[in-house]
Amino acid sequence: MEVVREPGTVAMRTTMVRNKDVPVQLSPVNDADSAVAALFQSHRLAMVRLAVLLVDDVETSEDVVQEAFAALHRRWPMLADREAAVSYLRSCVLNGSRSVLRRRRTVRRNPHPDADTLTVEGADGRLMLAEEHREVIAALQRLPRRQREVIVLRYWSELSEAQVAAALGISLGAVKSNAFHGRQAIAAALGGAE
Amino acid sequence: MNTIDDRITAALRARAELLTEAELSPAAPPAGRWAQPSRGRWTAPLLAAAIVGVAAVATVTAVQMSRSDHAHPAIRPTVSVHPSPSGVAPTPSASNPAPSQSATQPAPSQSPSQTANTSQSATPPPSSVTPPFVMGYEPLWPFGSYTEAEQWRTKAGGSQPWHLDAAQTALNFTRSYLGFTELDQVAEPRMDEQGAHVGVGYRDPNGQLRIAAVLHLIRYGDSKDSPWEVVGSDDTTLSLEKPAYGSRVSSPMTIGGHITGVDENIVVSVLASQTDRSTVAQIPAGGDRSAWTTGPVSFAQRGTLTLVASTGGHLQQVERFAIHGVHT
Repeated sequence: MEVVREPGTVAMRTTMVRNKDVPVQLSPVNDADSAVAALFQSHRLAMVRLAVLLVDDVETSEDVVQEAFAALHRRWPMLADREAAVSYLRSCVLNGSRSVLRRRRTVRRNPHPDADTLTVEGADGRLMLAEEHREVIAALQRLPRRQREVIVLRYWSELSEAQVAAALGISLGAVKSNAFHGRQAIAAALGGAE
Repeated sequence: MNTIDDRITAALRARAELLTEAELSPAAPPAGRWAQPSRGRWTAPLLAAAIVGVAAVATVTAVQMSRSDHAHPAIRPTVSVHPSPSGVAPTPSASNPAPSQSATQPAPSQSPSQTANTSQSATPPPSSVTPPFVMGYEPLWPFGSYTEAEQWRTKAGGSQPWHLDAAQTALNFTRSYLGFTELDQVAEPRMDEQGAHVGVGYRDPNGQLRIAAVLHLIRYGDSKDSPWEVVGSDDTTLSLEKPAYGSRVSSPMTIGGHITGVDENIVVSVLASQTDRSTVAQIPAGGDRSAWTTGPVSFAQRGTLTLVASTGGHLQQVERFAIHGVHT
């Protein structure tokens, strides 16, 4: 394997990453291979889980995440702020998941797919969930894409509204609005369980 | 947090944590030069491409000037699109022959690139075409890629003009690609912002038109003379829903959907090309929007796959069908 190295040295940095608070040792930034490998080890599972919540399909999610890491690797020398690596990775996963959902849009006759017909893996996965969780996940999957993304980032990734806005490239007001409507829709699907 | 917030958080966590590290497919992090934005390594290929482009333009100019000396007409013939009248099979004509009825017409699924190769050499190379077009669907037939479609559009010189006719493309797909030769009727295409929706079918013994499927086609490109591409079907009483449209699949996979009907026998096939096809299951089914599923079926095809579910046996072998696009 050929490793591309650029001239110059950069100090080691650390950053705190999403909800598991795992400190990530960012290697010298001129060593994309080892730095991305470290992130891969520490964040791959979390990123695949994020994608699964959005596209409901493990195999596709793995592909999305692999593409995200490849993009991060390509981008590595240009990243101005190395601590933004995880945010960049998350954005790649969101974009990749969005593309997957766009590709599925020709399930046109069923724009809000029945919970049992999304994917084989998704259906099987949900069967292993408790009934109360299944209802929530089914309601989540029926949300418009933007609302689903906001709900997942707020409630699972535990991002602040400002961080969600940055990750999705939308305004803070849009985050609030989508979170409100998404939450309302899920509550309504659960029978108004507030 | 109140109840609903707690429920959302708990459900998301439960769903996410169903997936563990051990269940992830083995994968290595990206590494090495292939992933780097090495601007330098593109310099030579870009320079070479530029030289080839300049040479091609010069050749085109020279050939066209040479031809103009002999007062030849335009290379590209005029092509008129004549949607087939509702319920009537398209009539072969000199300008728009039905490939299945024409011995001289190349097989549609194999023809675009071949035709392009044998057409006028004075057309610009495909490298001069920037491909900004985003398909958004699985390209099922007749073109396997945007490049192929553009090659036909820019190089075919008007051969196989049925590519510009959504109804004819739908009928050729049904008869030539799927092999449902009993289906010889095509309805007037319904156009909307998503493309064309074309009913294909047959006439029953009473002469009544029976629609076997409504195929969805889009233009493969942004140009008005971009060819039509079959991307799926609008399913009603027979549907294909698993795996999800556009998803990545691997063998074995489970194929399923819903059906409304009595005493049906669903034949499920996987096609990767006109010759690379296999029937993977036959399932007795029936009822009112009853779920049907194949169970795990193995397949060997690779690339973009067309999943086909068909049923019939009452009036003719194939009376209804649905198609679906996935890829490996």
